Amino acid sequence: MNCDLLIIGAGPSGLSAAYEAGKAGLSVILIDEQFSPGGYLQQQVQTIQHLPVPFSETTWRGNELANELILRLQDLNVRFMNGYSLIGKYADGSLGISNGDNLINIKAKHLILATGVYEKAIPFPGWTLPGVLTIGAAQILVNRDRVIPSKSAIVLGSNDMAVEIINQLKQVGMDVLAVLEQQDELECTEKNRTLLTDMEIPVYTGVKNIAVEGNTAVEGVSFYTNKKERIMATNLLLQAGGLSPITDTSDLLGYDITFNEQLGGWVSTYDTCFQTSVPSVHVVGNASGISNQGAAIVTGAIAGIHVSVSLGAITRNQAIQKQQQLWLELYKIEDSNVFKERIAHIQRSEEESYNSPQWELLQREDVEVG
Amino acid sequence: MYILDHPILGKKKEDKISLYYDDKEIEALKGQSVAAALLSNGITQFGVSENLNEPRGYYCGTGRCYQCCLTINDQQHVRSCMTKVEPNMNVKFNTGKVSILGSENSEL
Repeated sequence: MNCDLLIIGAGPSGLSAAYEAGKAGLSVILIDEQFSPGGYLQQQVQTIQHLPVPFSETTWRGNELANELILRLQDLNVRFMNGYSLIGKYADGSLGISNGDNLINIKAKHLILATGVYEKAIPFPGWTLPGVLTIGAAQILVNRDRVIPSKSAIVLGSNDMAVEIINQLKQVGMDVLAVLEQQDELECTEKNRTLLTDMEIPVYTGVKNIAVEGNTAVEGVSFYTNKKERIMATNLLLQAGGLSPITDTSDLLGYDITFNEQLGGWVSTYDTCFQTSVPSVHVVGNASGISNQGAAIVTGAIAGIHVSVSLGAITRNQAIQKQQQLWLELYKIEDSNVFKERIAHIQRSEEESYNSPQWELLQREDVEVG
Repeated sequence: MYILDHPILGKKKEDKISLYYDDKEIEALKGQSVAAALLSNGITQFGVSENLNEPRGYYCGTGRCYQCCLTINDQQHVRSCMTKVEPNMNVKFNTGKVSILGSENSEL
């Protein structure tokens, strides 16, 4: 199959990139490993904050926003291929995708990686027993599959994503017996700490020596806190280890990655148009640094526009104007520490002098960075 | 346990499907993953690990960890979290050893 643009990942950033490229008249193939598009938005039933215009004018739950992003593509030349993964590269540079049954060769002029995130594991004795899940997996079960995995759960980790999901688990009638945090302080915001208190969930900090007991599945968890050993019975332990960008395809496609703690771990290097060290490959969304759903939409759009101008589907002036608006949106909606780090990351990437367009935006006086 | 009336997503049509786990009929809802269907029927151990035969089950839910693998319709090592339930699916416990190209031995 041939196309102008192949996008790996049909979450918010991939869907957004597809929209910009499709609007400009390009042919787009959008693949996702999952059996339905929308990415993490599918299971996020909470109202999504910090969205860019025009989405900010309406209230959207995650699943509603996913539907809208998908619906926008219906009259465009965008082909969805659900259940497909990128599995290899041919000698001539074309790519192989497969759903386990079919193997299809794709010749694309441009590639956008919208691969998203993975949840970091927290290994400890017994962590491989059935009944230990990532907290994101629990959210998928409850909100996408409509299954309650257990009447109660213990959560390990205290980031904001954990608190959000704990709230959703409680809403469907599950009991959260405790939150265990290995650091001395809870990781979440003040607002979320208050929420935990309001939900009357016991919180233990400075937790050490976590171990899970059980024969063929989790039966309990033991841990040290305040120099005392505690044992709590549970069938479900949810790990909230935090998110990290997926960079699986870097070796295959030849783009450079670098370690950046603030952006979530290993992440591709890129320029102001999210183009990697390989000119026809872009990285967008959470794969370009852990941020929010609004940032995923904006970064996807910026790259989609860059692909459009690269293929002559829109003019350079049209591209510059749109991208500057988008960068201003990103500045408004992204956490300021993440935004600052992203700019620094781009500047460092561009210093390593590979072919990248230089937009004037970063020199503007009304945009404060660092 | 199903959530037929979700506090935010609302009611879901009870589109039930029957499939087989370990040759026993179990019930699932259309649109669920095979993993979710097993979990809703109280099945938490999906298999054993290849070398040490330790219990394994659903962990990441997104197809990255491969711990939810089951034999589905005679195909081994299928990620059940990435597979939607189909009527009369034949699902079996994952014994850990994958036979490649019909060989008995998994030393390949």
